[in-house]
Amino acid sequence: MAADAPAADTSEMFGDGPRPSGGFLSRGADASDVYELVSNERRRFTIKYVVEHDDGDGVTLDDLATAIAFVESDVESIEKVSSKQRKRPYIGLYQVHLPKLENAAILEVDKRANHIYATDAAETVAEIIDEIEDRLVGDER
Amino acid sequence: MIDELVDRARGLLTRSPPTASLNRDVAFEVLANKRRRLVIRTLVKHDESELPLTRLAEHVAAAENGIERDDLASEERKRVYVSLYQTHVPKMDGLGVIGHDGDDGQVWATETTAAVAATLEDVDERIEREVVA
Repeated sequence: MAADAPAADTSEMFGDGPRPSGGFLSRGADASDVYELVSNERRRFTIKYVVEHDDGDGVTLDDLATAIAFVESDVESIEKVSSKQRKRPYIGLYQVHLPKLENAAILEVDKRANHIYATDAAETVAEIIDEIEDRLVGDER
Repeated sequence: MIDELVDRARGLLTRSPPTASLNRDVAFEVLANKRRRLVIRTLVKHDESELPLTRLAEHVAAAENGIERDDLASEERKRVYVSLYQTHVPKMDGLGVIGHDGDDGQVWATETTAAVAATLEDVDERIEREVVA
């Protein structure tokens, strides 16, 4: 898991704009931030996916985007996901969701290597998502 | 009423928290807004009776401002009332998360409200303990 992952240099990762400093592990976030983060389906998927698939070497952004495109589309096998179908989740992840999850110290992102790593917080947040689903979400279809 | 009390007593005895069957996106969307979370907590606290929407707005405004209801400025009260009236209450009622009678303006906690409130309480605690270290 994250403990084994190389500490990614994330300082210049997502442009030069101001980045919120710190994250859940280091300072002042509260429950509100967690509820906001998990309110988005792609972020929930991403958190669970990375926790499930990161054995220490991280997961690739390509694989994650392909998995999301597969889940969101009607194609019958993951091999048939086209690069065009993969592109939309890829851009959304890259521009919106990964920066948010990284700022919250839920994921570590190594942009150059295109790798994403789970932190300890990722596992806890994945469990929180499961708990909310178990208690509040009905069977769907 | 009696049935409800019996159910509640049974729930306390077996310690099984109430559950709900919401749509997935709805469940997370309801939790994602602070004002909606306050509505849920407030209604569950008053779950023996219906509340006029004006009263609910006072409780929510007081909690948001960290003051007593009596100390609320009329503007603080009204701002929250309008957002509950126009946005949150119809939405939460439509999603089945709270009870609401648009004719007399009463709102109340349902079993779903109770399930959401119980989940919030436990998850809040867990976040405090394990995430925001």
